[in-house]
Amino acid sequence: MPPSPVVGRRAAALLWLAAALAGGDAARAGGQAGGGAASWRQEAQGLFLRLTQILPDQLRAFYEARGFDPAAVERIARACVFQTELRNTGGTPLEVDLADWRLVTDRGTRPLRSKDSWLKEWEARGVPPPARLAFRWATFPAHQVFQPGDWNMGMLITDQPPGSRFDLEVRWRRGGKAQALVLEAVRCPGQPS
Amino acid sequence: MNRLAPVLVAGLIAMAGPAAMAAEQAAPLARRLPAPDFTLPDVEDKTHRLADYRGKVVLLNFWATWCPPCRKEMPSMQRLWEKFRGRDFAILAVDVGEDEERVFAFTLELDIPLEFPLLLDRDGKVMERWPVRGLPTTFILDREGRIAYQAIGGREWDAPELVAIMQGLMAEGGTSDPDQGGRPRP
Repeated sequence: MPPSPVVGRRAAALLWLAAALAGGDAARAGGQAGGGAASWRQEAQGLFLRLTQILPDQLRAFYEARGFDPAAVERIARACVFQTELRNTGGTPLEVDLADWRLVTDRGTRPLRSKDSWLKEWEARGVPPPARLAFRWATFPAHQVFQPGDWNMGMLITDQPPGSRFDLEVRWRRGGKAQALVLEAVRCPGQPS
Repeated sequence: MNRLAPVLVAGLIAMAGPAAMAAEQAAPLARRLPAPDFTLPDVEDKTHRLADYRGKVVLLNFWATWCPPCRKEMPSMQRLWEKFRGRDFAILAVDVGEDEERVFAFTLELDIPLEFPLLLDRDGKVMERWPVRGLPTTFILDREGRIAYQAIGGREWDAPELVAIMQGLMAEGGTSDPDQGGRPRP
């Protein structure tokens, strides 16, 4: 008997979870991290960054299970989301503020939409508090200081169209000095409409 | 497929890449601050108050079942727990935003049973009083109930460098003056 859609989605979510953990060896810039998701990574000046596509069905499975209604689930499933891993591989603390990051597309350069702005949208849509709490903690922290050896994972929501491409300008500060890297030609999951 | 999924996850966790195995360290706080107290139930509905753990070194971990590095570090926390069993050491793992059913289901997926308390911060109110920006975040408290170290992201908690931190804190006799920044008692 074929698995039900819900069981299939749960399995997809588990596969995504596993791929996120196992992607360390397999992922290359533009490579496949597992489950059909592509991954991009780069390390510069003591910062390691990896973006791995989270496919729409994986997002549906995750947020349905946490109490998002179908309309809200569909909104985020199409918002071009990446599992993001950031590590301080240097010897001094570094400070990351997502407000400093930029998406460079053929339509221009713009900042990422803030977590607070998303949370306000979910509240306005009537997404219940426990579901908003899950969103808040599953999303990559807006601002964080990473001591040497610290690292974090979380969802980065670019809100770009399915199948579109962008460069991600990543900026941080270390010892009061601004540093940066660019992840080039990152591709949103899905087909362009 | 559904029944195989936890096995698959466990297998892939074991294969986690080199980036997930960076040097294990925790950052010492320049000045040890009193840990915000809380009272929370565990998955068996037993109540735990943090202040009751004064006199012990406490590893306080904030986590969630959906968080990959949180899941990965749990077995190493159990090994650390076993290593210091019977000593002045405790582990409290505070799950954020989930219920006991989901946390219990997660424990069944592990190859190793977790014996330390799994606390439930269902509405996230306790975590809001702590300097947590992402999950997992772990604090190591000294015997005086002060935050001595913190670590953002998953760790292998039974790694020698981290074991040495716990041993160092357990070797401290505490201070009579809480403003003296963790200086061992003469």
